[in-house]
This record gives sequence, structure tokens and C-alpha cells, in this order.
Amino acid sequence: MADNRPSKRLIDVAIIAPVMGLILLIPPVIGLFATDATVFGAPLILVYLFSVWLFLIATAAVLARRLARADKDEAR
Amino acid sequence: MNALNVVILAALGYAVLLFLVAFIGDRSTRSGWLRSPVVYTLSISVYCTSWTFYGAVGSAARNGLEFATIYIGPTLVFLGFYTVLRKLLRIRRENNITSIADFISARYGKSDLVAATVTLIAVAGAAPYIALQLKAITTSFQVIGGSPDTVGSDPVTALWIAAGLALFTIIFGTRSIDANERHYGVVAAIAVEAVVKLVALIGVGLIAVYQVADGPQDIMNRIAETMPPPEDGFGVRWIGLIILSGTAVLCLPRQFQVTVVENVEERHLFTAAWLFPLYLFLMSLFILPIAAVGATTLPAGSNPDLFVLTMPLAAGRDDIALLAFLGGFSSATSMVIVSCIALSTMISNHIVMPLTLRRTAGTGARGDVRALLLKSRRIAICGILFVGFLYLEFGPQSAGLASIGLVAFLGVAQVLPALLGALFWPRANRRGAMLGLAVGFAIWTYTLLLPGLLADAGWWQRVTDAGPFGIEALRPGSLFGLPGSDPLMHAMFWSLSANILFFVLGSLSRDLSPLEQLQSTLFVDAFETGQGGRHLVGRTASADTLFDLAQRVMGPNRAYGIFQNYARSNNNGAEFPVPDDAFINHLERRMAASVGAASARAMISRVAGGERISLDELVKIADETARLMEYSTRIEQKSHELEETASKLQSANQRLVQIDAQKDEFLSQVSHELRTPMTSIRSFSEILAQNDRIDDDKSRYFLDIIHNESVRLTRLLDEILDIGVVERGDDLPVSQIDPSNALRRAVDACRGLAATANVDLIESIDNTQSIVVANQDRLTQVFINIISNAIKYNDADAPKIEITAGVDTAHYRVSVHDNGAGISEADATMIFDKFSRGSKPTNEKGAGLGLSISRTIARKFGGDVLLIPTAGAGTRFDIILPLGSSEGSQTEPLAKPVQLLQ
Repeated sequence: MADNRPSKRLIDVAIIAPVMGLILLIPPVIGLFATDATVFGAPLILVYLFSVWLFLIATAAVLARRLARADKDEAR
Repeated sequence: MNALNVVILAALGYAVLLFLVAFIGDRSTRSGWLRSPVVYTLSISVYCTSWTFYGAVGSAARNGLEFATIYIGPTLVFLGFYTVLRKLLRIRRENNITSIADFISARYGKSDLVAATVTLIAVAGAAPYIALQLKAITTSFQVIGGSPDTVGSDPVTALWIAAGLALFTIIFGTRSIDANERHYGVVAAIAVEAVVKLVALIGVGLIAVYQVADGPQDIMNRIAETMPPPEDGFGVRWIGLIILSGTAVLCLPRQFQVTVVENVEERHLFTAAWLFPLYLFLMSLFILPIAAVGATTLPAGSNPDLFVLTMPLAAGRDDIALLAFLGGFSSATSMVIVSCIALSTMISNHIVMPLTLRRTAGTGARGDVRALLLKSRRIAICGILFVGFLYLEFGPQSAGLASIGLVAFLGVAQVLPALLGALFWPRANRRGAMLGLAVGFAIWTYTLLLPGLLADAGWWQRVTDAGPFGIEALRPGSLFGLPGSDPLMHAMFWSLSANILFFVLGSLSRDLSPLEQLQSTLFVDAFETGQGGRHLVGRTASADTLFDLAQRVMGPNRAYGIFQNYARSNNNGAEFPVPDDAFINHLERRMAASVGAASARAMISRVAGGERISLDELVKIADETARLMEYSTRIEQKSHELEETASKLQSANQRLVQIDAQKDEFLSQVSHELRTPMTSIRSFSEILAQNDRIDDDKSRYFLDIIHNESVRLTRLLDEILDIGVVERGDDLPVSQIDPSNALRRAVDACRGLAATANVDLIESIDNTQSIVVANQDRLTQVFINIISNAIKYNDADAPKIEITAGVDTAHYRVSVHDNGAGISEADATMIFDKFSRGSKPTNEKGAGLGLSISRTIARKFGGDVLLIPTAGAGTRFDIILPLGSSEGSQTEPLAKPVQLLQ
């Protein structure tokens, strides 16, 4: 059973992921990085925004991969 | 002028290329690459219009990072694809949904009013948006054509472009009316355009970073220099824009078209889930560098919305500028094409079709519906583009146009509550959807759309300043006195809150109609209900009538195919299927793919009558969860019962094991008991047989021993035999006797034994005559057995036994109470078992059958032998026998004494 369909945990992650992403990208969290500080000469806020963005894309890729595999197994 | 010619040639060449791609795409529907998830993802990027292609840089130059919100919203929505998008795709596939308006209307009772409202909202938002695309193309034409100073109205170019787009859309967008026949050609062209715009923007970005600026470090410095202070950017507007863009990527008609309707396979979504956000990420990577370089190198006062074109031009890279022009051209055209397809489908299905049906209500739907639909779609496409053109030429020329993208976003966002309710809230109904849509749409129009449209009108200025009819609370810019420093957020707050409020209240105000209930279940439980629960609607019509209707909607060939396939798959051999309920539903869903759910239902109802949904059936499927729960409760019950049985079995098994052990012990004991006398008999008889010279005294002595041992053996065997006899219970002749006689005989028989063991026998026997039905000898045996046991096992210093007998209620009762050590609780339960003796070591050697035999005998007479718990020391056995009256009630129930004793 557990191998044949997406585990409940995986589905829960898929549901909660966009919410966590939203929390990371809205105030007050993003406000913490909205300063004049720089990282290697780049404004901190730029680095933060684009890193979180990439991280979310990677999360989507991992989730999609696992869910797709599980869905395929289910269809069999 | 030479430059302009080059640009015109390039644009024309590009257009021809697109026509070619679309043509090939339409021809080669079988080929693999068109059905790949990458093409699907690229087609979704129709989200990036010229507004984002040119406008993002402008926005970045003015407001810093704010442009990113437009991409972050969709990123989050695609990150959550498993919850919302996947469900949308599944429902579309199961119900042949043709557009977002169709989706909403199908869920809320296939209502054509809901569909028409959503269509209206979509068109209202899209017309200015399309105008914006036309403006982007004409302006970019002028800029790259070398006349940036004369940027302004250019109706001829705009009209030509609009006409070209209409032609393309009509050729490739209205070949078929079936939503299941996807627009492969269009999708192919859009995918190519998606690549072009990405490459173009990255190209311009690279020029900005490496040619104009001195690499990444310089770019970062320029960004830090030109960007507004980051602290200001993250407030309510930031959150609002993320939510708005996330909503738009779901609800915009063109997004719904490419993401949901044009989707070929559900699993493509699993690729788009990360590939589309990645596309957006790449699109926005160079926005800030281009904006920063533009702001620092181009002359002050340059329009930042055109940096993408003017920056490479200023850097002398005409080739990159041309590429950028094609990228912008791609963004604009793909948006217009897909929007026109989606909107024209909605207009024809949800406005033209219901009106036609209503007009022909009396006569029944006549004529070729298919031709009517195609014609209305073509006219709608031309109409939409013409309205866009008119808006461009005669609409407000002031700042209103720049934010028109966000205005459109908020317009379609009014669909969101109804859409999410459709997916997740079973109780959401048509009244709620209608109220929410209408109220939200009205507030959006009043607070955002009209102020943009009428910005130049004097009378509107008065309304804005003083409120309509002088009512200040209703000023469109600050409704109910809410400070409206940001008109977009002001409108968003009021329209969406009111929308949600009315949607919820309306839905709660009444129950769902049967049809709504059915659709609600099909949508909300899309992954659970599957194919079940469809055939609930009782309708009939002749196959001929249905075919006549179907061929007018889908054309004769297609309709014939559907009928034949259905007949074949249902194996009834005939050419036409039996027009039963299931088939009518099948046909309705196939027709819904062409004309939408509401119109399909209306048309089928014409020929087949309205559906009568059986409430019982409905309740059954609606209560799918309830049924599942009931099922699981039953399983739980079963498992509980099983557990009980198992534990019973276990205790029975334990008893069996115990008894088995007792039996083994008994057998070894019996063998031992038998062996001892046998040994002496054998040895003494051997002595007698082998020795002739044994004197008579000695031999007599030996014979005595042999005789005694034989008697002992016989007694032992008798006892064992007794068990069998008593157990089987045959041949026990009974008569009416006085039990006290038997008791006296038994006591007398035991006196000798008692005297030997020094046991004091105290008897108090009631002399009243009483009658029981029993066997005198056997009863005596029982009494002897109990009394002799009491004597044998009494280990007290001054052993004594009290024997009392008398009559209580309905029984003759004999108590034998000794003052010995008593019987432990553990032993008490098994003391009556065969072969059992107390666990206490005694020197007594018996077979342990006495109590068992006694009880069995007593029970034969309807009585019992009971071990009575005593307060003090000692053991008390009671023998009870039912008093046998003349009626011979020897079957006096045993329950009574047992109850008394407990």
C-alpha cells in the first residue's frame, strides 16, 4: 500500500509547501532582509529573493518527481 | 527608412514562420514533440505578455523589486500544483470543460446565467488588456523603426496588426469546436514564441551586463545605486500583488485555456510544476540589470518601459534590438491569440448559444448548431480585436493604460472565490456564486475599471471628488472613507471581501438543488467518485432524435462516430446505442465539450425532457464519505468480534492444554497405581509357581496378598469404569427416594474411616421426610465420596467434620464442612475436573476421580455438587438436589441455586 500511492506525508508536504513559500516571501520575514547590507557586492534582498525562489523551484521539482512516480505506480 | 523596412521584413518573416509552425503543428498531431511536457510548459508562459516583457523593466526602474511579485504568485501556485491545478485538470477531463466560465457554470448547476456573468467579467477585463498589447507592438515598431521621437498614435499599423492576429486566430483557433480537439497548431506557435521571448530577454540582459556595463560587479553597483531603498518595497501592496498574480495564473481565461483546456496529459503538469516557475525565474533574472543599465546610461527622461529596445539600440546592437522587438512581438501576439480563442469560445458558448436556444424555444433547436458556433466564434474574435483597437485609439491616453494589466488581474480575480468553492466546498451553490461574482464585479468596475476608463471625463472627475450624488461615502477612490492611496489595493480589498462575503452567505442561505448536489459531488470529490454516480438522471429520447441533435452540434461524421463507438463498446451489436440514461449522459458530456455544460444540458433537455434526479441515488453518492465511514465502523466491529472470539479460543485452548496435562498426569498415575498391585501379584505368583517347597502358611499368606492386590486392582478399574458409565449416563434407574436415608448410610459407612483417622464426625440431619428423584446407591456413593474426601484431606490438628442436611426453598441440601486447610482459589476452579486433585502435596493416593464422578452423578439427578466459599478455615461442599414432587419436576433449573450461592 505505502509504495503504491503517494504517502500521506508527501501529499501533506505538497499542500503545505506553497504556504511556507508564501510566508518566506512576504513581510515580516522578507522585511528582515530588506536592508542596505550586501553579499559579495550584491544587495542582500536580491540574493535572498532569488535564492528562495530557486529553492522553491527545486522543491517543486523534487515534489513533482516523487508524486509523479507515486501516481504512475498507482495507475498500474 | 531602411531600418523600418528591415523591421517590417523581419516581422513579416516571423509571422510567416509562425503560420508555418502552426500549420505543421495542426497537420502533425500525431508527432511526439507537440505532446511533450516541455511544449505544454512553454505554452503556459503565455502568461508573460508584452506588459511583462517591456513593462517589468519599467516597473523595476520605478519600483525596484515589485515586478517580481507578478512572477512569485504563479511560482507558488505551481508549487502547490498537486492540490489545485491537478484537480482542475481532472475535473476538466471528466466533464469536458471548455473554459473557465464553463467550469464555474458546470459546477453550479450548469447555470447559463453564471456562465454569462463570468464571460462578461472576462471580456471586460480583457479588452483593455488586448489594447495594451496592440499598443506595445505599434510602439515598439516605431521605436525600432528609427522614429522614437514620433511615438504616438499609429492607427494604420495597429489596424494591420489587429487584422493579422484575427486572421491567425481564426485560421488556427476555430478549426474545430470541440474542446477535446486541441489547438495543436496554436500551441506549437505559442511554444516557439515562448522560446523567442526568453532568448530575446536574456540576449538583451547579456548585452546590458557584458557590453554596456563591466560585468556582474558593475551591474550590482548600478542596481544598488538606482534601486529605491529596499525597506519601502514590502508592505500590503507586495502581499496583494503576490496574491493577485497567483490568482491570475489560475483564473485568466487564456491561462485556463492553455493550462487546463489544452492540457493533453495530466502528468505534463508534473513537469510544468517546476519548469514554468523556472521559466519565470529566467525571465526575471535580467530585469533589474536592464533597468539599472538603462537608468544609468540612457538620457534622463527616457521611457523605462522601452529600455528593452532602446538600451541595445543605444549600445549599437541593432541585431539584439531586433531580437528584442521580436520577443515583445511574440509576447503580445501569443497573449492576444490565446485570449481571443478563450474569449470567443466563452462568448459563443455562453452568450450566443443560450440566446439562440431561448429565441428558438418554441420551435426546438433547428439548423446547424456547429456552423452557428464557428461563425459566432469568428465574429467574436474580430469583435474582441476591434474593441481592443477602438480602445487603443479612443480610450484614455493618460497613465491609465500602464496599470491595465493589474486591473485585468483583479477583474478575473473575482472568479477565484467561486472557483475555489467549486473545488473544495461541497455546500457552495449557485446563489452564492452569482451573488459573489455580481457584487465583486460591480465593485471592481466602480472602483478600478471606470476610474481608469473615464479618467479624462469631466463628470467622472466630479464623482471621484465628491462622490456620486454628493454622497462622500461612495467615492470610488475611497469607499466608505477607506483611505485609497493605492487604488489597486483599495479596490482589491473591497471587491474581494464583498465577493467572498456574499459568496459564503449566499451559499449558506439555501440548500443545494439535486443537480447542484450532483455536480458538487463530481467536482469536490473528483478523485473519489470516478465514473460512478453519473447515471442518476432519468431521461429518455429516441436514438434518431438524439442523433439529429448531435450531428447538428458536432457534424454528422463525428456524431456518427460517437454513436457507433458507444454502441460497440456496450456490445449490443446494433448500429445505434439504446438511448438509455447512461447514453444520454454520455452524449451530453460529449456535447458539453463543444458548447459548454449549460447549453448542452439545455439542448438535451429539449429532446429528452428535464432530468429527474432520483433523490435516493443522489443521497447515496453524496454520502460517499458517510458510506465509507459506515463501512469502516462495520470493519471495526468485525475485528472487535474477531478479537473476542480469538480470546475465547485462547482461553479454551489454555484449558485444553491444562486438561491434557492433567490427563497425562492421571494416566501415569493410573499406570503407577495399576503397576504396584500387578507387580506384587506377579512376583508372589512367580514365587508360588517356581518354589514347590513352600509351606502352607507361607503360601496362604502369599495368596492372601495376591487376593488383596487383585481386589485393589478391581476397585481401581471399577472406579475408572464408573466414569465412563456415569458420563454416558445410560442405565441409571431412578425412583423417588428419601435422600436422608442415603445420607445416613453414607455416614455410617464412613464412621470406620473417621475413627481410624481420628476425625470427629458431627451430623445434624433434618428428619423431615423429603423426596428427590434419584438412584439410591449412586446417591450414597456421592455422599460417601464427599465425606471420605473430607476425612482423607483433613490435615487439622483436631480434625472434625460437620454434616448438616435439610430443605431450603426447592432443594434438599447437604453440607459437608471440614476444618482443614481449605482449597486455594486456583484449585477451586479445576477441582471438579476429571483426574484432578488439589495441587497440595498429600500422602493420599487416589485417582482424583471422586469429585468429578460425584458432580456428574448429582447433575444427572438435576442437582449439583458445589464448592462453597467459606469465611473462615476449612472446606465446605454442598450437595443439592431438586425436591421431586409428585409432578416429578426433576428438571428444576439449576440456575437458581447457583445464583443463590454466588
